[in-house]
Amino acid sequence: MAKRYGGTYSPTGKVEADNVDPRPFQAQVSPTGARSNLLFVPGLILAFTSFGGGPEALALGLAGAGTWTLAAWLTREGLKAEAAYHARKVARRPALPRKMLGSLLVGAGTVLASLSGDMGLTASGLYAVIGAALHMTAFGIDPLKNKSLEGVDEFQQDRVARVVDEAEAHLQSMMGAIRRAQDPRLEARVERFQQQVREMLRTVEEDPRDLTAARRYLGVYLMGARDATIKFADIYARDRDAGAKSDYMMLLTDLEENYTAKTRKLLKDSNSDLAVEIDVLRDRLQREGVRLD
Amino acid sequence: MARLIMLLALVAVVVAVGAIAVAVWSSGDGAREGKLNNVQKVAYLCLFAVMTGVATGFLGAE
Repeated sequence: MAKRYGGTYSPTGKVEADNVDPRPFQAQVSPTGARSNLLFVPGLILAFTSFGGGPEALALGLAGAGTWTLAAWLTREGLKAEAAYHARKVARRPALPRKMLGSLLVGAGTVLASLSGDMGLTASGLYAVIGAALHMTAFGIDPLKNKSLEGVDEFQQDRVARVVDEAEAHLQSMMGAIRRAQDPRLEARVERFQQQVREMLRTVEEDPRDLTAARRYLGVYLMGARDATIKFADIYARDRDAGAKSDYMMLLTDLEENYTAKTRKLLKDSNSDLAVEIDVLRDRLQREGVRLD
Repeated sequence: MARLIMLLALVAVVVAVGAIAVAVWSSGDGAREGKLNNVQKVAYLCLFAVMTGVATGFLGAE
């Protein structure tokens, strides 16, 4: 059903927008976009055109359409995984190289599609190689190396990576739940809170020693926020309770303030560590007779 | 027939090596932001044309 849009400057949207700024800190561009979604189209076309060419052509055509659809889906997932890899400072390479697999499946689908159109094996093979190569050129290859910070213990980085993965899973289910409420303002508010949480995640990734201090924030509190969001979304989707919405917004504001304060404290601690290291180095240099001033 | 297979293998090797080279070269800052560079844009358009052409029968054996 169509919904009337009410932004900050709309006649009905102003009162609600006075208290809280629902805009996210920074707009996030979807890593998939139209380019990977459009790849589903040739599969559909092939499925339609394979009818009318006999049973063999139909079977080959449908198999080709399925293979192309799988390739398009893998490409989409590969782009998402790549964006997540680049967003983190410490990350493992994707377990399954989805984009490269997508290239191979584009080639395989092209062979099946060509054979369904009565082309020979040679022509089908040529088209397959060209298709796979073009796919690889257009979408690139998956990240093949783990990303880590220099000078930080690998065991600690693994611990951090695990906690970050769990936190990201909580954030994703939180977003999935709030979408059920079907309120763009709430979605933007949750997105803003999530950006604050992600800032804390990046801080912990940079200095894994902060993990102990931030563990409750990235585990228990986040799980609580997720559960509260799920319950709120169910209530709000049922009867649009303004009281529940107000309580939930307050909860998000409180949480966000706490996460911001904790992240600042973590950063301050890192600065103190730097100051200590500078003092120690100065002392040593002075003992050696070197003056920095 | 043998010449055709040789041609196919040669095209396969050249195209695959070229594709990998471009893919590796393109995985810079633009890729991190999810943007396509000009080579990738052209490759994407060609890919879409090949797939649609094969699906509709526009691209034939000859």
